[in-house]
Amino acid sequence: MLAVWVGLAIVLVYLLLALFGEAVAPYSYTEQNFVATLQPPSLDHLFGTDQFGRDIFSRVVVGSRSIMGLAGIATALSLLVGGLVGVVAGYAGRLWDEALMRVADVLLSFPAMLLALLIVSTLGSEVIYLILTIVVVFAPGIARVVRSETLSLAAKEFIDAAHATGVPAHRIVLRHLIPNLVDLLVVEGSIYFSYAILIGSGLSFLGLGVQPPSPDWGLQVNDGRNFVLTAWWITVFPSLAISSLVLGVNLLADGLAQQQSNR
Amino acid sequence: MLEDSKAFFVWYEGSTLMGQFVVRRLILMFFTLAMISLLVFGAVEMVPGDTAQMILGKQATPETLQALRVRLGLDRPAYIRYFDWVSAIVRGDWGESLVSNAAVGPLLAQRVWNSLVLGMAALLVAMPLGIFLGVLSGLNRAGWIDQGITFFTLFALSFPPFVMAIFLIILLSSWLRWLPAASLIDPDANLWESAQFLVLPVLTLALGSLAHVSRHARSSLIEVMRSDYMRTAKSKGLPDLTAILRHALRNALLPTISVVALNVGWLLSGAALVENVFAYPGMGRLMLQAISTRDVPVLQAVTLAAAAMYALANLGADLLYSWLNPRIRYS
Repeated sequence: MLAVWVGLAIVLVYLLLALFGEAVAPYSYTEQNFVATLQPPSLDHLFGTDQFGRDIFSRVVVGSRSIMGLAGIATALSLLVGGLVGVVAGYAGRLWDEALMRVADVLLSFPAMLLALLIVSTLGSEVIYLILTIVVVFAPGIARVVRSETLSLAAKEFIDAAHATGVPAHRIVLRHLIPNLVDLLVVEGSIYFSYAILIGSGLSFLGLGVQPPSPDWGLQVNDGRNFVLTAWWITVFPSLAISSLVLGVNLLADGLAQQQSNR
Repeated sequence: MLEDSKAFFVWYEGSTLMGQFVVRRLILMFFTLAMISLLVFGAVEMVPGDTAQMILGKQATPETLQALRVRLGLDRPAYIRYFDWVSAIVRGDWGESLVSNAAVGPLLAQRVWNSLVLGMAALLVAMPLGIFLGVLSGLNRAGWIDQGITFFTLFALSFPPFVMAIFLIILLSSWLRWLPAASLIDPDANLWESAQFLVLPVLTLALGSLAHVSRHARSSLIEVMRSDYMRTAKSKGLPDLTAILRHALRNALLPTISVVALNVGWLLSGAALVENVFAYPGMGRLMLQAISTRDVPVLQAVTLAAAAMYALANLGADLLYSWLNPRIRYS
């Protein structure tokens, strides 16, 4: 139980930083200071400075916005698209089911990161395309899980009962199916949120995601790579930020899944 | 042709359920591969600016562009080029790189092999260790060993491959000085001469896989330990160790096979990042190079090969699983 609260706390801290990062950051994330380049961590610069004398702490703090925003929006849209497709496939009859699930099978037969790379390389690295990419990669998996849950719900008596009393199909879906899928979607959402962080930061690490000069953790890790043996702090602190955020989300997701299976 | 298909159906009807299952899976696999090839071709087709423009650059005159398009066959409709592309690949001709003009086939084969070496080495480390940790954890459920292992695996899963790679470099090369940091710089050295360069990439990939396998093995062992037949085994007086070895492990490790297939996907995905960090000459790096140089034939070939490998791994796992576990064979 403690683990869940720790996870929640980590996620909340990053959420607050993403919203109000500028208020916390002691320096501007673009401010260059050529008399203080490559400074190790000190009281002036908690996480040190990079090769342009920019304050790493400020860049990590403000950089939370890019990944939290990207991962958050992409996950929410994936749940929406995947959830809709899953419900339609599970409830609208055999034909829809076959058609939608075959498409999902094909998309799922790509390793996630490679599919993301393929799509991003064709569309480009605008944030809107990054979001679209993650939705295309995630929605099929979510749709598959939602579909099988919808199928098992649709076979239950309360749905039969609603059907028999003449409740129209759209009302059954909205009032009876979807409310019963919320638990599942919350757990799936937390798992996919952590995947979205991995894919989003991975793409920007490879130079195919968020573009400079936006402060972004993946970009920062990549920037500091050439200094890893001489000025480790440039790359280590944004790396720690990514890992701690993913750890927080994983703890939360584990806890939510546990709670659901206990019910 | 008709006689052949009749003969096939006669054979199909008469063969075992396992045989029918294999045939159905192979047919499904064929369709999946066809769809994958369409998707890869279609995605690359959507890239703005055509190949001729990319080769000749912005200064090219319309006449030279048109001449090159005709020479490369780019003036033909997309569906004809698609069938050309696919039939060439079926014949073993993967096309030529736009950048180096070298044949893509041998290049791809070499990179696939390098990635396979990396992935197999990672699996060889991750599978036994992951199963061992998972079983240890599941048998000591809720004890401190279990909690330690659970935390370790959760921790390992929280590091994206590229972050893991960088931490391992700092830890093992920079601080402990066990391994040469040169693995960062040296790009295309011979694999076997430079086994030490393999250590860091393999370790990076293996840690993630190990965590997946361990978590899976743990939860399936716990499920099995709760089952009726384990209670029977205990109550008929079998020693704990015998009951675990003879009954629990066999059943618990069966589902772990499907994790291996999923892991191939993870290894291929992770490889794209890890190979880039270590400048390791594998498929992932080739794909990134193709993206940055807009080398369309190479990009298409690598993506297709990676998806095909993943599909094959899934097929292999399905067949192995159903062979070992007859109960689920016919679904």
